[in-house]
Order: sequence, then structure tokens, then C-alpha cells
Amino acid sequence: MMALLFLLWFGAMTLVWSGRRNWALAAFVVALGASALWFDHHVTSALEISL
Amino acid sequence: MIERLLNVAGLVAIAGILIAASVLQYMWHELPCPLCLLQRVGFVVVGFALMLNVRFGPRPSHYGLLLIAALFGLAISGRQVLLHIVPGTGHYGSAVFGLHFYTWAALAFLAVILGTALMLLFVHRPDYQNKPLPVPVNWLAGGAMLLIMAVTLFNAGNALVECGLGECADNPVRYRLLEGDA
Repeated sequence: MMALLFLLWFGAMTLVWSGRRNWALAAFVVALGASALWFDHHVTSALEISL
Repeated sequence: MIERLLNVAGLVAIAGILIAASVLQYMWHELPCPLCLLQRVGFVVVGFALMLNVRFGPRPSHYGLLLIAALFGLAISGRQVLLHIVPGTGHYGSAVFGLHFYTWAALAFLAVILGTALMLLFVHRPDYQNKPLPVPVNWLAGGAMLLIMAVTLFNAGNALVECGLGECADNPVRYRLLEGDA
């Protein structure tokens, strides 16, 4: 899963490299959302353990 | 011109941080924890926002994304700092110059926020209203962008070897994919 996150960002960077700004911004939203969800998953699962 | 050069320098610095983390990982045989990997993702996000400035020219909207990226990274590194801030709660990994990686990461993300604020304060570009189009990149800017992309791809491979296709272990001690445990 973590590898997929890095790949998502690599894809977004490729869009920047190729000059597709609007697509890159859309990819930013998707990749940041996925990254934030994964972070939330880690925090939530840790809280469940400590509670 | 100087603004774009500073963004290229920032891109190289972020790539340098990610390269240093990977080199120390293999030198010291210390595998990054899930939060450590997420902090690397945070640096990649910062790199993405800097790439926008380098490829399309600096704009306030790009600096806004840069701030969001740095806040995302700061949330993760801050979370890990808080996990270990109480005496007796231990730490994760070795210290570098007296501070652990996650503390350095938190300071780095704070520095990105401060740097972005200074750029917004002191740099004035009158053509912000123009349509953002790709600008020509010289070998330095192109090299910096290729470097951060290569480092990101390397980290994808590194995470795949360490965690396999599932969730990363909380305290990883071996590379799952190499030992057929993915």
C-alpha cells in the first residue's frame, strides 16, 4: 500500500514534467487524499490499541 | 529568476533529505516504520509543489499547495514526536546529530513553511494573472525535477520490498518481499 502511495505521487510528478498542470492538480488532490486517509488509518488503529 | 533558482535549490534539498534517509537506512540496517515512510511521502508532496513552481513558474497557488504539503508532513512528524516525547516512552531508530529522524523531519517541514512565507512576503511578480503555461527549463531545473522523480520511484520500490503488498509492520526488522512473506 505504501508503495502505491509513492507511485501515485510519481504519477502526479510525471504530469507536472509533461506540462499538464490541470491534470497534475487533480492528481495532487487524489494523491493527497489517499495519503491523508492512510495516515488517518495509522493514527486510528494506534488509538484503538492504546484505548 | 532568483525565485525560480530558490525553488530549484529547495527541490534539490528535498531530494537530498530523501537520499540521506535511504542511505542511512541501508548503512545502519534500520528499516523505516510506517510513520517514517509517511514522512517521506510528506517530503515527496513538498517536492511535487516545488516542481510546479519550477515547471510552470512561481505562483501564489503553488505556494499554497507547498504550505498544505508542509502541514501534511508536519502533522505526521509531529505525531511521531508526540509519541516519544514523554520520558520513558522510548524512541524509534538512531539519533543523527542528537535528534531522531522524525524530529529533524518536523524541523524541516517547519523550515519549508517559514521559507514559503518569506517567499510570499518578499517576492513580487506582476504577471500572476497570466495563464500558467509550462516554461522552458534549463539543465539544472530539469535535472532537479528528474532527481526528485527518481528518488520517489526508488522509495516506491523500497516500500514494496519492505512492506510487500500489505500493511507495513509497526516495528519492521526485515524486508518482507525478500523473505517471501508479502
